[in-house]
Amino acid sequence: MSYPAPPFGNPGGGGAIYNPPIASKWIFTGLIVFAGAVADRWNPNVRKAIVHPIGFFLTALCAISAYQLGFPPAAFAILFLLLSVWATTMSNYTEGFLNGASVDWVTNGKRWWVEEVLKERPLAIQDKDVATYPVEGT
Amino acid sequence: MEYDTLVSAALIAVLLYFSLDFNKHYSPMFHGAARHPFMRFLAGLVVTLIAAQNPLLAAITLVIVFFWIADIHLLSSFKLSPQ
Repeated sequence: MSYPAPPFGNPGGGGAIYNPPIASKWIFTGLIVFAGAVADRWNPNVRKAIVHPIGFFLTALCAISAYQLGFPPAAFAILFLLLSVWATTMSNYTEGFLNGASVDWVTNGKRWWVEEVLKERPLAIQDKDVATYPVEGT
Repeated sequence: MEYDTLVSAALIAVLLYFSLDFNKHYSPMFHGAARHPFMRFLAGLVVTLIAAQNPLLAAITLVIVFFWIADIHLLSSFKLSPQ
């Protein structure tokens, strides 16, 4: 005696699509928020890819798509993730500089000879003035 | 006055509070909490829960949370009166 195979993905029969009894959308949203909360533990290359204009645009596009699909919490979770990654990346860029001190950002690509030899690429300069004193006691 | 209007006004008041402290962090406790992953997770969760009710309020809340995490002061870089 053989039984007919149950319809795929629909154990209850009928035409409706079977939904599991869990709030899968909310679990997914919570995972996105959690990823944004621990953005400082991510690989820096992944963060750079998201902060890159193309990655930023694509992530924002995902948020807009989630909003258009009718679930705004997921859209805001993606935006939270995006802003957290951006804030973490920017705070790492300014690491090492004193708060409140004036910082001049290096905007041109021309480097000093010492920077080329030491393979340094400074992002900003905090101390521009160097105090020198005459040699004493000779 | 409608409930949404009241909540919007309250959120904007909080936004101004985060913006008007010119020369220092708004609060050492808030500043320290913004570095804690669990507090960030709670803030993100609040944004998503509000988004399920009202996207406009969620947008304002997201701006506040972002200012809190990034430690941004809107007016701190500008002199209101010439020196």
